[in-house]
Parts: sequence; C-alpha cells; structure tokens
Amino acid sequence: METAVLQVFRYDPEKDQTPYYKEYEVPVEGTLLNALLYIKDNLDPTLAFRAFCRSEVCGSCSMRVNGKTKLACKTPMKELVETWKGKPLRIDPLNHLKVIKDLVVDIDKPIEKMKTLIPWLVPDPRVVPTDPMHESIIYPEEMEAYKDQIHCMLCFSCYSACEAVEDNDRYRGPFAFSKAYRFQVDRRDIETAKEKRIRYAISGGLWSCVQCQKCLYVCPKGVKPAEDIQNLRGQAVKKGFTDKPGAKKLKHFVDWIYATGQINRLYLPEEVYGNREAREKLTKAYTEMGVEVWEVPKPTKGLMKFRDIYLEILSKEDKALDLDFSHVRKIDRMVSEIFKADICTIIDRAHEEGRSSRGLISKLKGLLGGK
Amino acid sequence: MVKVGFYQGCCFQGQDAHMFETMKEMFEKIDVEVVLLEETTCCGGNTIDEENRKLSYAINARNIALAEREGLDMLVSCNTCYMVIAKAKRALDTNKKLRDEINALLKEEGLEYRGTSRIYHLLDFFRDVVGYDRIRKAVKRPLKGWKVAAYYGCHVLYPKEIAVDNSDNPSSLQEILKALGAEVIDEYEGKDACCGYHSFFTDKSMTLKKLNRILGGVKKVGADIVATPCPLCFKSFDIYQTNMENSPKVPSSFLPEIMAYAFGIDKEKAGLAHHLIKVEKE
Amino acid sequence: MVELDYDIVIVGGGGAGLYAALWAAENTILKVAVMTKVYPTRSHTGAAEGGINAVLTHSVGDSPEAHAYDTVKGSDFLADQDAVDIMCKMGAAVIYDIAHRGVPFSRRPDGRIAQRPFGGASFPRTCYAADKTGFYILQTLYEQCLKNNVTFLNEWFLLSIIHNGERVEGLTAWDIRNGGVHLIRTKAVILATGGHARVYWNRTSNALGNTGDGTAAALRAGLSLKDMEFIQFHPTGLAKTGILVTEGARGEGGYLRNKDGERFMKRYAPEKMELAPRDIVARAIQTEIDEGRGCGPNGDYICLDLTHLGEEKINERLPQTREHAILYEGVDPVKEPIPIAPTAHYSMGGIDTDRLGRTPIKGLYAAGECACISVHGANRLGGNSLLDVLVYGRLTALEAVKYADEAPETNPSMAKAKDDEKRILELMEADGKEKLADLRRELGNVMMKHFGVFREEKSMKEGLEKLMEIKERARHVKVYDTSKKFNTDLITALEFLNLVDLAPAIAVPAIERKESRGAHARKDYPKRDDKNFLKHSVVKLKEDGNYELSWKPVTITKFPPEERKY
Repeated sequence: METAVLQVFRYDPEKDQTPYYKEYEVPVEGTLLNALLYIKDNLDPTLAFRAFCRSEVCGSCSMRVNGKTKLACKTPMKELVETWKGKPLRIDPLNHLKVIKDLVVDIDKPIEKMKTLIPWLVPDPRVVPTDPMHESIIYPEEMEAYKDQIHCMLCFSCYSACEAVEDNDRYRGPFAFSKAYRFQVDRRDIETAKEKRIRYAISGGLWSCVQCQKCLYVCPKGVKPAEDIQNLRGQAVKKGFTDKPGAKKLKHFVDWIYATGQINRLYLPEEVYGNREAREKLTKAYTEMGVEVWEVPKPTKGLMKFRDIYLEILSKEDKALDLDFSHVRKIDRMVSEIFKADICTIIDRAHEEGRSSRGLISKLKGLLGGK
Repeated sequence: MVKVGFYQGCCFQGQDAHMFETMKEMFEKIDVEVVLLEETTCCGGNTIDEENRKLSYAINARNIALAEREGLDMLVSCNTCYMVIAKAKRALDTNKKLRDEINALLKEEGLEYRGTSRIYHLLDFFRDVVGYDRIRKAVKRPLKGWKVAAYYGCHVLYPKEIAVDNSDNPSSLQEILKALGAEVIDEYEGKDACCGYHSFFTDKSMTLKKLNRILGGVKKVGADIVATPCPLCFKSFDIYQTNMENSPKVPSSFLPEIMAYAFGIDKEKAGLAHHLIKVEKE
Repeated sequence: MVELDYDIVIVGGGGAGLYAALWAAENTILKVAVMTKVYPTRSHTGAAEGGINAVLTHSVGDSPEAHAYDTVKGSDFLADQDAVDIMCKMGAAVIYDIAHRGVPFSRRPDGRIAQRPFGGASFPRTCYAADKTGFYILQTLYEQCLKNNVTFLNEWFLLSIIHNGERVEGLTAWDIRNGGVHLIRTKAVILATGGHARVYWNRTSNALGNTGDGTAAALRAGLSLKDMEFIQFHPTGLAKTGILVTEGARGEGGYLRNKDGERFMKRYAPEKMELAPRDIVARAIQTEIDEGRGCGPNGDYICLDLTHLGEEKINERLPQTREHAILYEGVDPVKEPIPIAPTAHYSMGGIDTDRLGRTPIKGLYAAGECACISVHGANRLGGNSLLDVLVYGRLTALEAVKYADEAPETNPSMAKAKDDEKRILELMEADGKEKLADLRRELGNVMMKHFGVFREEKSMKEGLEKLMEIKERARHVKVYDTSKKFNTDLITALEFLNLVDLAPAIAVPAIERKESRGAHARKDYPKRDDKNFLKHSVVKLKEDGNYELSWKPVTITKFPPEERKY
C-alpha cells in the first residue's frame, strides 16, 4: 500500500518546553482525517486533534498542511501527495490561534470577536410578527442575497489564512464579516441593528482587509468573505461613514473611472490622505529618470458610451447619486486643459446630434437640477 | 507568430505607458504579437466591486467584448486585473440573466459579450502558449549568478476557480525564472504573504507590515532581487517600500522587465533603470 | 477541583440543548449553562439534511391528527400517543419560532414556508432549508444563544449525574481543555446528549462522538432506559465509512444492484422498488448481502448505481453525494456505482421519560435523541427527529424553569467527584492488555453481526455473551496520554466505556422482544405480536453489573394498532 510521511506538530504545554514535529507513516487512502485517525488508532493515541462529523458539516478538523489551511475531512491524501510531489507533509495547527495542545487551538477568541458584530437576527417587528403562530413571509428571491453566507460552519479556516488577522489583532476575521453581512441583507433585520453592525465592523477592521482572496480559497463551504467585506464597505459608505481613507479611495475609483475610464494613481495620495507632496515627489522622481509623467489618463475612444453604461448600471441599482458630478467636472476640466479636447463640449455636441444613448444628458441634467 | 489582445489596465498608461513598449518588444522575441486593446478601461481594481458588483461585471464584460470583437484571446498582465476580469467572466458565463442584461447595455456601443475569448495571465500564457522552451531559447543574456526570489502575489492563485497554477504549490514562476538562467529562491519568509498594495489607501499600516515581512524575508535569504508577475506587487515593492521607516532597500522587478533584459534588451528599455530602488545587478 | 453553581444545566449543545437553553434564557433569571463536550455548532444536529415535519397554517388538507397518525403508524404503534399528540400539535409553533429567529427555510413562490413529501407521511409536510435543514437550525440557534448571552461550558465531558433518589443534585464533569474533574451543583439538569448509534462503531452514519454519554450516565445513575433494542438502519451508507448517502440519490432515480447487476428490489417491493420505506430497503440490501449476492471481493456491499442519470443531473441534484463518494469511497458515481450497505443511523430508544420529558428523578429531564419519550416507538419517520429535538428541547426547558424556580438549593456530596477522579486515574494506570481501537472495532463488529438489521435468538445470545466479555476486557484498556490538558485519548476511552455500558442495554431487550416490530426485525419471529409485545422494554443497570429488564405499557389514545401497510 502506498504510504506517505506526515510530520505532525506536537506540543503538550505540560510536558514540552517547545513544540516539535513527529513523523508518522500513514496510508495514502481516504482523507487527511483518515490518516490522523489511523495514527491515533494504530501508532500514537496521544496525538490530540479535533474531529467530529467526518463529512464536512461540523467544521472541527481544520488545520494546516505545509502552511496551507485545509479541512482534514475534505482533503484527500492522494491530492496532498500529488500537490507536494513527494515533499514531506507538515501538519500544523491553525494559524493565528493559541495552541492548546498538538493540533488543537483555542477558538474562543474568534468567537468573541464575531460576537461584536451582532451575528444574529434582530427582528424588525414590522416585518416579523410577534404572534408566534403567524408566519413572516419571505420570498425565495430575497434569500439569494445571503445564500452563500449561511454556509459558514465556523471552522476558522479563513481566520487562519487571513492576512489582515496576521497584522491587526483587532481585525474580526473574514468569517465574522460574512456572518454580519448575512443579516445586513435580510429584510427582517431591523435598520438600527444594521447601522450598528456597520459601525462595529469599521471599528473591527473593515478597512484593514487586504483583499488577498485567501479566505475564498480556503473556505470549505464556498463562502466568500472578501466579497462580503467589499459589500460591507459599500454599505458603510452608503450609510455615510465616509471619513475613512478607504471610503475616499472608493470615491476616487467611482469618479475617476467614470470620468476617464481609468483611476489616477498620481492623485490618489492627495484625494485619500490629502498628501499633495507624494504626487510632486513621484513626478519629480520619474521626470529625473526621463519618464514622461501624465497628469491624467488619456480619454479613450468610446469613453462617452462607457459613461452611459456606467451610469445606466448605477441608476438601475439606485446608486447614480454616488457619483460626485462636481468632482467629475473638475476632472473633465483637467483633461480638457491637458488634451485640448473639451469633454463637456463633446457630450453637448453628441446630444445635439441626437447620438446620445439612453438619455444620458437628460439624466445628467435631471440629477443636476437642469431641464 | 501568436497574436493576443493585450489588456493594459492602469499599469501600462500614464507614466507607465513606456512599459507597454517594453512588453511588446519582449514578446516579439518569443514570437508573440501583442495587440493593445485600446478602448478598454480600468477593470475597477477590485474596488468598484465595493460600490457595485454588477458595475464591475459590466465594465469587464465590455473589456472582454473588445477582445472578442478583435477575435483575440485576452492577455492580462496584472494579477488583480486578471482576477477581477476572470471572476467577471465566470459570472457572465454561468449567469445568463446577468449576461443578457449587460449585453443589452453593450449593444449601444455595438459590443457583445459572447464568452469566446480566453483570459490569460502572464504565467499561464508563458506556460501554455509560449512554452518554457521558447523562453529558454530566446535568452541572449542569461541571468547567471542572479539570485531571484520568486513572488507570485495573491490574485493568480486565489480563489481556486480562477487560479492559473496549483494554488498551494505553484511552479510556473520558478520555471520561467529558471529558463532565464537565474538561480531561483522560492523558500523565504513572507513568500505567501500579500504584498499589501490594495490596503495602502485603506489601511496603510497593513501595507508596511506586509512589505516588512516579504522584503525582510527576501533580504534574509540573500536574494539579489525579487521578481513578480504582477505590476501592482511590483509597485508595492518599488514605490511603497520607500514609505517604510527602515526600508531594506530590496530591488524588485516586474517579471517582463527581467525577461526583456535576459532577452538582450538593454536595461533602460527593459524598464529596469526606472525603479525607485535601483537594480544594480548586471 | 472547582465547584460550579448553576440553577439549570443543559448537557449537550445540539438542537435540543440549544433550543432548551434559548427558551430557558428567555424565560427566567435563573443561572443557566449549556455544557457540551464539543463546541455547540459541531453537534450532529448539523448533519440532518432532509427536513422537519410540521403541519403549518397553510398546509391545506393536513392536520396535526394526520401527522400524529402517520407518526404512530410509522412507529409500528409503539409510540406513546399522548406524547405524539403534543409533538405534532406544537409543530407549527416551533417552525414559526425558529423561522422568526432566522432559520432560512426554503420558501414557496408566495413567500410561505415550503413543504415536501417524505417517507411514511400522508401529506407533504416536511419543511426544509435546502438540503441542510439541521445545519441551518443549529447555526441559527447558536446565534440566538449568543444573542441571549447563554453561558457555555464548551468542551466539558459529562461523567456522572448526582441525585438523592428523589431529586437531582448536580453533575460531575471533566474539563477537557484544562483537565480535571469538577462538581457542578444545580437544581435541574436537561440531558440532550444525542444518540448512541456509535455503538455500531464500524458502520454508522453518526459522528465520531455520538456515544450516548448522557444515556450511559443516566443508566449508571440508576435511571431506566426504554426501547433500547430499536436502532434505525439507513439503507444507504457508504461501504467503507458508513457515511450517509442521502435518500435523494434513490429519489432522483438511482438503482440498487446486486453482484449480478440485478435490480433486486423488484423481489422485495415490486411497485415502489428503490423508493420503498427505509426499513424495507435496508432489510432487502442486508438479505442480498447475507445470501451471497453482495458485491466486491468480500460480497459485503451492494451497488447504488447512478451512472444512467448522467453527469449533468448528478452535478445539479446530487453534488454532495458525488463529492462524498469521491472523497470517502474513492468512487466517482458518474462513472461507476457507489458501494453501499445499511448503516446504523438513529437510536429510537433512550432515557425513559414521560410525555413532557421528565424522568422519575425530579429536576432531571431528557430531550432529543438521548431521550425515549416515546414519540418514535419502534421506527422513526424521516423529518420527525428535528421536530422532536425542538419540541422537547423547549418543553423540558419550560419544565426545568418551573421546577428550578421553586426547588430548594441542592447540596451534592463530593463522593461522586472523588470516585470519578479515581476512575480516570485507574484508566491511566490500567495494564493496557487491551488496545482501545481494537476492542472498539470488536464491539462494533459484534453489534453489527449479532444485533444488526436482522436478529435471531441464538446469534443474539452469543452476541450478548461477547458484549459482556468486551465489557470485562474494557477494564484493561489503558489511556496512554497522561497529561491533563486536552487529553483526547482519555475522552475516547470514556466514550468507549459509555458505549460498552449501553451495548448490553440494547442486547437484553432485543433478545427478549420475540417479535418483529419497526426496526427490530427478527428472523425467528418475523411477525409483530401485539398480544405479547405491544409494550415498552425498560432496562436498568443493577449494582452487580447485571441488566434488569422489565416492561411497561404503551399509551394508546386515538389510534388502535393495525397492520402497518404502505
């Protein structure tokens, strides 16, 4: 029978000064959990790890293989052997959590962190009847909004893999934001609770997420925490929490991409941190190296139609007013000064010629209070 | 000669416009004609998704449709652009309602998303289309004695659905660097850490801690340079490194730059001369 | 040794335990704690897929009476009809309650809770949340407990129940994380520790920890266990592990084939074929295996063939089945049939309680799978376990609150705790002649061989002897890990000892029940015998280690026994 060697992290705080790795030869059959149970039954009953359901619903047996977070009962031994091409398989406890013993870690901390984000339904009495024999009506399509988030089984795989947890102890953890977001999009949840969740999410590190997507990768249940964090950020800005750098960054993206089809990295430090010097320094450095510095991106062909599509989508999603048109006009002026081509004139001319699509101009005028 | 549509994103325009010329010249050496997809826009940088995910899908449906109009596959050189566009493609390919809704808007511009163009990142393009052999043969100036730390960045490996290599144990970057004749270092502290680029304008402290970990790790193993297939990781290394209090001053390279250099293009033209942290190695 | 002090302690953090905790927390200012040997969301309620039965206000044509009738008929008339009546009438109330708390039940287009047909039910009354009903219920209840600041003793292992013959006084438990036996003083205890199908160690759909800890502790504390001979076997467990293959696999059109490729169900249920009730299919599969028509080199499994459904349908309708078959059996159902065999699934029997979940000891309650109320009798209907869990979690909570509010302070002696400490020490000092894993495997084999799908006097008597022998040998099992902190070697040993205590409690009534009823299928007595056996078996553990069997009447109100035909 084909076998593989597992180097398993061992640490018993009562006996061991420092952790060490112990090697076990296990059959390459079934899952990593099978291999661990094989060790416990046949080689070494003292090895401690958590396991319960054996079939990926309980979330007990998450751990790391060569640094990568895995749910043991969902990880075929064969796949591990193939991935690591004969390299030894080093089994470690989850990252970012205190080791209690061997592969068992203390998960109270992430649970406590999660609790700060109100990860439960706070029913709105106008939607959820207080009479216990009355049903609250929920349409199937409403549930689409949280169909992935409800799969979280608290295995803490994402917490282990998280880059933000790594460098910010306050950070609540990817799963916690997904749990919170699940209620943000539930019509039954009361508005005041939604407001609070956003406030607590911000103080819990909402803007510290680096968007590395590792949480999506390691989640055994297809939850997408990094995307939920994006959703929460959007909600935060929408609810008026606009003082954080991240909110200003988002504004930069929304406005500049609409205006020019591109972001403007030169202006980001200024618009986010009020740091004008950064642009000047960078411009100087590049100029000295002989690189031509463009103050604004060159408007590309099709930009006007691109704007149409952009605005159309935002209008449909009831977000057209998120565009800061005075900012856009400012950008337009910069563009026209540099490229000697007046975007506003182009739009007007297009309108006169009746080439404007989908009533962009009237929409703009409507928004700006014109006719 | 292979022809492929090149998506520029934000990294090949403005002050970085010269990078496309480097890219084009480098690709010529390995018989690839890169066609700039001129009318494309920013992918939204994974930030527009915060505003509205559908907007992100629409923008990128348009970007892909522009490649499809040319009948070309799309080559994306930035990890983040690649991930955002590949995610959009997945959403469009699996959700007909979304595709129809967005196509109705694209129609105005005479565009249609059909799902016919494949999206490549540099890494899988080099591996699957160009082949390591052709790279090896194009080398005029082998990177003999260059100790190069391989750094992938996140968005080519995660999430799994769009990964271009084995997410746990990738090998394509090492293979390319080896083909250039470099001594590859792929075990160092911080090799799997995020470069912190995207948090620079949301939580700057995160970026600096990430850079400290990665570049500190690179320095510790004695690498001459860290090479990455992602222009954003590169910017984080080269530009944001200057924001560090005790900068380790580790030189870095966007992969196509050292490829160009190894293919015999001079340092200036390869872009290696334009770094804030100088690449001294010859 | 730390002494802890509560008014109500709920042992077990699954569906019954958490729902009890929630109702207790919301209805009293008493000190309530949930003690669980894992973390609550790990509990096996989370593995329940199918759904939860209840007659809702929009269930046109259905009624709680019809639900009760189906339940009683399904139970082969062994369920107590007063209890069934309570459970069925409370269905809608608990469904709406948990829906209001956030359980994402699947909905009809008009926004009302959707219901689907289920085995043995005369109306489509099974509410469901996709194919993860139990999972969502468990998660939601946990969220609600966090909201209500419920005190959790996570990773604490129940050792003993302390009572004075009249009222409960406390518990002893092992703090898994830090090590150490603790005395817990409390006025009321709700046991919600789940089932014990792990006694069939090698062939069960249950989680590793479904070892009947509360049931065994109750047995050792002198309480009665009821109807223990009834164990439900699910027809389709993966051959290697016993992990469940959902009934949906047959529902979507899967075939069962023996080694000759024959769709043998035509000989057992020519009309319903693969879709006959669980017990009939399980018995058919077992018969094929027993009569030498099983597949594989050892002829010990049957093939569940989905290949004709095609990859697309399998991916769309049975993604989990495919994933599990590949992961746990190494077989891709798109390309080849899945090896399956019956797997021990659910314990109908358990701690003997009355229709409100009360035991004869005041302040001591049992709810969920560890209890035998009895609402399931000789055979549980699919979709009734989650209902049982919620209804009795809630009822016992209210009973416990009412009781603990007025009960005097208790004063349990330290003797039990000292005993338990000694017992654990002895485990570490045992001679180690017997290896835990080997003996446990043996226990599982004996149970499956002698008390499996089919039973027969001679074989069972042999089996009981072997069980008593295993019980004796279990005294020589050694715990090698001598550290206090997170000693999983110790926990698995304690769990095993619980199983060892429970196994004869299954065997003794199984031998004496000389009839076939529900899940208890005897080859030597193939017919139901209402004249002699329309009664509950009751087992007690005597001081001398013997198991004492007695019988008690079934409560029959509306539905007189009749032949169980579908």
